[in-house]
Amino acid sequence: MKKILLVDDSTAIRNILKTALFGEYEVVEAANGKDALDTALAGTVNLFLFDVNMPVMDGIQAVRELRKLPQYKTTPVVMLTTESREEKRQEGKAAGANGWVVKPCDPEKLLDVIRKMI
Amino acid sequence: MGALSLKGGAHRAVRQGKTANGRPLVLFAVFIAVAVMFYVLYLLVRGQDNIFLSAGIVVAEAAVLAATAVIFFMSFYRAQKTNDKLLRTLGGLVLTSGKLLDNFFHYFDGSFMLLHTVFGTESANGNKKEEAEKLVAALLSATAQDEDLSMKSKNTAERLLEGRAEGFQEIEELVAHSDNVVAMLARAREFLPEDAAARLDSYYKNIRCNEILSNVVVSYDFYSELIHEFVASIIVDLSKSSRPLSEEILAIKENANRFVANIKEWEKELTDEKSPKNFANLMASYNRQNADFGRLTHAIEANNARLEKRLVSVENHVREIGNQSSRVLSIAESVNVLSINASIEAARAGESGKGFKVIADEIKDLSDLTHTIIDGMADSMRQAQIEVSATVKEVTAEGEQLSQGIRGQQKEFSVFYSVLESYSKNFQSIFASVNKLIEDIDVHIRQFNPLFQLHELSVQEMENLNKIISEFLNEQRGEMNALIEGFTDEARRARVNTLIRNFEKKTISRFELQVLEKIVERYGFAKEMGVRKASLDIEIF
Repeated sequence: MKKILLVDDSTAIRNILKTALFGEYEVVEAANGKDALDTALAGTVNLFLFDVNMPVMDGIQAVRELRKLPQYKTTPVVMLTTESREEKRQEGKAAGANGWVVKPCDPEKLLDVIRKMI
Repeated sequence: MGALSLKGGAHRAVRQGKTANGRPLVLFAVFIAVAVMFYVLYLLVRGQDNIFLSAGIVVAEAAVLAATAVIFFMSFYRAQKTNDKLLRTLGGLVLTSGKLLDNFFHYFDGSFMLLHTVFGTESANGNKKEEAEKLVAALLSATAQDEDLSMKSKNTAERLLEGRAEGFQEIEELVAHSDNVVAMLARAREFLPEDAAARLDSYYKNIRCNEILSNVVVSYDFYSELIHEFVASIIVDLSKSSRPLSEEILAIKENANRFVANIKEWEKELTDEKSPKNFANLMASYNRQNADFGRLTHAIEANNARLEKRLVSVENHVREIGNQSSRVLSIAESVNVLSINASIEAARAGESGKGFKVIADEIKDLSDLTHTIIDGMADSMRQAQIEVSATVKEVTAEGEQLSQGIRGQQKEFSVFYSVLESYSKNFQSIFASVNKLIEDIDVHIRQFNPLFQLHELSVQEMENLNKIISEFLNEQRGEMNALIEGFTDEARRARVNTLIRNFEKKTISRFELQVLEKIVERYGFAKEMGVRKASLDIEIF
């Protein structure tokens, strides 16, 4: 089963999104960008779902850091956020994200995006 | 005031939202209890060699599952309804607070513009100056009213969240009032001289500057407090529910998945040809046993009949022996009579008949002996006859009992067999309906998923909004105090510029509001609010 790292500072959001991924993917969680990097280094992750606005280290910064790691140069990263501004999207894209999904999202549509990537 | 037209439903919804908090927990507890029970039953069935018990457990479980599903869906729909109403309320409150906040910003914008106007009219024509001063008077009275409203509305937000109608009335009153002030300020814009910037210097010199600024600060405090309390109370109420709700949903999903896995394993056990619990094999083996039962009954009945026949023939033989022995007895009688006659004749013959008498006596003794033997034999025969007929009766009764027993067992067996047969027939449909049920639960969870996300996001957005408002209000308050206490014109001008720059920040919070409005709109809550519908926002780079 492929492993997805779900990064969001809200426990409730993580729980809710897990219900969509449960069964099809193994889900590991992190509450901010820094935790996410630590978790990513501890094991292999097949896809990342990053919130943008988070304490300690935000999602875009975390993606930049992630792309510096040789093992995660090409691993798919989807940003999952309430942000819909074009400049933020471009910032995410430049940092190395592969997709942008605005929350709240339809879990089926999110799964479609994930299935296309892994 | 589209948002406020929601007020009736909205305040009821808030109340329901509060009291409904316990329901999902009860639902959760029920689900966990049922899941545990299922699991225990499953373990029982797994360890169970008796197919009837297994079948019974499976049927019972399917019934319990159906009942649970009914309870589950009822609770789920109730929870959905409550959540829906809560979100509608939130939508209404967000738009109302947005409107208030908007007016608040206009108010300040306008206030400063009015200051420009009033203090810039010294060089304007007389009529304009008079009108401007009237506006200032109206504004002063409006800000005095703000103070009254401030006192009255201290707990407006709290009342709103308690779902009390007066809370909504007060908000409407406030919005109407601020609309009025904003309208006045808009009119004041007409007096804004083109060289406003150049006139900044002059208005600082006017003695009324501090008076108006003080009033502005009072209004400012009032709005700050109101908006703060309003937003904070919404957050407190909402955040209470979103996390436990998400945990429940996750637990339900996990249990449903586990249950499906168990059912699948079960199904495999019962349908796999190699499994000892395979239905087809069991049915075949029971069929064989059933045929054996039939043959056994038949054999027992046949044996019984043969035994009975033989016993009857034994009885007949005994009776025949009895008959023959009675004939022997009558011969012995005749011999006896003959011996008596012979004795008489021997006595009459005298001495010469003595030898004959001995023979006659012997014959008599023989006849007596025969009599005794035959009597004994007759007794034995009677006894034997009684015993034989008792045995015949016993054998017949026992045979009948045995046959009845076997027939009864056969009947019981065929009942079991038909139960098993119908269960086997319904087996696939039971599993199909269980799977369908779980799928339905899944679909519902999936449908509710964005709503639950929305719920949590609303809390987050409100928190962000409150933070931004709080930062903005604090900064402005500091600048205003500095402005009032400012000594030099230069310092005051710098403060005004800072204030104006701060106003530009309002676009951030307006953005936050737009996000919320978008959320509200996406899920159709916007229908009553007249907001346009947006498409789902996903992009792959």
